[in-house]
Amino acid sequence: MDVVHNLAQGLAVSLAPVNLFACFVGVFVGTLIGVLPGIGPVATMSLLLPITYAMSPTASIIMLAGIYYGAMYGGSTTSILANIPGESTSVVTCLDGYQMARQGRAGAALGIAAFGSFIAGTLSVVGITLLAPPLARAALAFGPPEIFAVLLLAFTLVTQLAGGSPLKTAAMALLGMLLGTVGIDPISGIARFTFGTVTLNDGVGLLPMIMGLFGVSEVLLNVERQVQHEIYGARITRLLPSRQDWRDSAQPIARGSVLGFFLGILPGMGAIIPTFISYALERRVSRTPERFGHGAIEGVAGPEAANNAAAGGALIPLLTLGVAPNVPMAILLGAFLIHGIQPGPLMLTEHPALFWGVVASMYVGNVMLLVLNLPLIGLWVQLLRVPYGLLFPLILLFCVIGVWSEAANPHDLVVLFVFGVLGYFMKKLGFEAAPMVLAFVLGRMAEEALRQSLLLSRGSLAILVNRPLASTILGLAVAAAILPVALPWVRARLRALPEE
Amino acid sequence: MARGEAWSAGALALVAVFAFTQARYLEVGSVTQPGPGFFPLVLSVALAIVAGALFVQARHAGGALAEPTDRGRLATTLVALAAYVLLFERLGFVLATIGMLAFLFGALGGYRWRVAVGAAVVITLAAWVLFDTWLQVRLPVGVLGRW
Repeated sequence: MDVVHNLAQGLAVSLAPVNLFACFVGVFVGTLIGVLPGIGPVATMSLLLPITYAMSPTASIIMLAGIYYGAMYGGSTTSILANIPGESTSVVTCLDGYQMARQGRAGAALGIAAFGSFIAGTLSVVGITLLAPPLARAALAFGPPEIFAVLLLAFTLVTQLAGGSPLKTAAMALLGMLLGTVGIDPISGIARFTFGTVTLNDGVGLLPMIMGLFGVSEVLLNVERQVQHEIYGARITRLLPSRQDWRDSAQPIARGSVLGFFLGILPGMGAIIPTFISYALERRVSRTPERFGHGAIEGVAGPEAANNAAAGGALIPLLTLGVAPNVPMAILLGAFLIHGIQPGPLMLTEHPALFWGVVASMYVGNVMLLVLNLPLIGLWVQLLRVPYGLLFPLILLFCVIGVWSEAANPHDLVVLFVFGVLGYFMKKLGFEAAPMVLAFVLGRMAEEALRQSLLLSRGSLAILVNRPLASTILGLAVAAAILPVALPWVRARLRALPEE
Repeated sequence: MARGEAWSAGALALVAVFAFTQARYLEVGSVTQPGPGFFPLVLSVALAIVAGALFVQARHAGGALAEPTDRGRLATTLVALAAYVLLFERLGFVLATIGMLAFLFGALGGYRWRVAVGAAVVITLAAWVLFDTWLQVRLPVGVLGRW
């Protein structure tokens, strides 16, 4: 009954007027910056960090956390309406969400994204409540070999499950990984493929790359085709998901929540990778995988649940170990330290009101987000009625502002342009952008994890199989790579047997 | 033979060759002690193989039917975006954005020029207030300076 007692204490804290207001401001600002492409939770949290000096520690943390998970809600909106990911965690939502909008089902897509986020967000808070201490101990067992194994598993799952030609997917994945090697090598500190420029020292920017590949390229294709008005003006009938939509989405939301939560706990995982894995998984288990990429609601529901659940899961290492698994959590860690509080194993005993207050505020915040977002769906759908001749210059404007807001670097705008043109040709020729982006993110991390593992083992690859956790995950990766090829072959042989 | 496919295979092969030559300047190391050049080298070789396979596949594939497209509108948008990206910092957000929006509204959106310029001015100022004033994104002021 400890949990109930603690949660009751936390609810009392989070429902105090000051904290309730902080929570509202947090989720409201989070939704707003989530909808606007480019301005992410990281920039917003760091901008608002100074304001929290004047606030109580509890209210500050509640507000900053609200921005983070609020942004996960809002991020899907622009993905669905304009094919620009509002947050990098909503890239996958573009694939089917935007197609749904083009078929007049923007309301259903936005609705299922909001409900899915709510369910996943709430489930992940339940997870934090029950599992924080034991899970944190498990996450400690994750070293570079285990991370490498997880990345390899993620990679095999995603590349083979992408649609279209396997050769083209492989080409895009390799290109993405090559792009990921641009910049200062994290192990040796040597610059790779930077051609003496300072901009490329940090590597190719993820944000300009994504905005170019998804946002700008889509504009270029649409401008050329001139078919927008018929598509957008027509048939926006239902604002909320239908019963069939719910039936299709229930399992993806459940799977996405569990997947996102557990992956979110792992250091360095962030909220992007779980969305890719969730999408791949849904496509895999679907009886009609060919609908994916053409407006399958499962492709929206699963990943949107996954990113919200991952945002919750990421709080676990922070609150219980004092380790920030990603950048937004690092800012949150900074906020704790500003107020003289060291998050970690002792926080539960030293500051129980703060710990449980923050956790309880997330239940409250998730309800606020749902109430806030559902009425907005009607408004967002109206945006689709804006004529394309007016809309597309604005999409370009948002892409440029979004990229600029990250680092105020004019070279990033050039990167945006280049990837916009590249994305245009890729779409024309049937190359998918998603495997490239994923390989870009995963490849960089995988190389680092593998090389760190080899440094740990003094050059012995055996470290990947000697550690039980790593070898188990590697085994899964190998199985995931072989089974889809082997199973049909075995089945065909078995069927052929009686005839022989 | 599918020409687009063959061209893309060629382009990928070029990228692979380029990455290969560049990676060789870096320390490669070995499988058990990979240096900074190891992964780029392996990836470029793999990419070259895949590009070769794509080329072979393209030779056996039929050419796809091109969908009707309007190259003029595409080129206009590209030029406008390129100019906007290059002038964004130098001219400043306000002037560059008004120029880009007004041009695209007028030239491609089908609005009368007076309407196009008016809408561009209003949207640009609104975007300035939203992003620069409220959200504290430091947009470039360029030639106008800060008032």
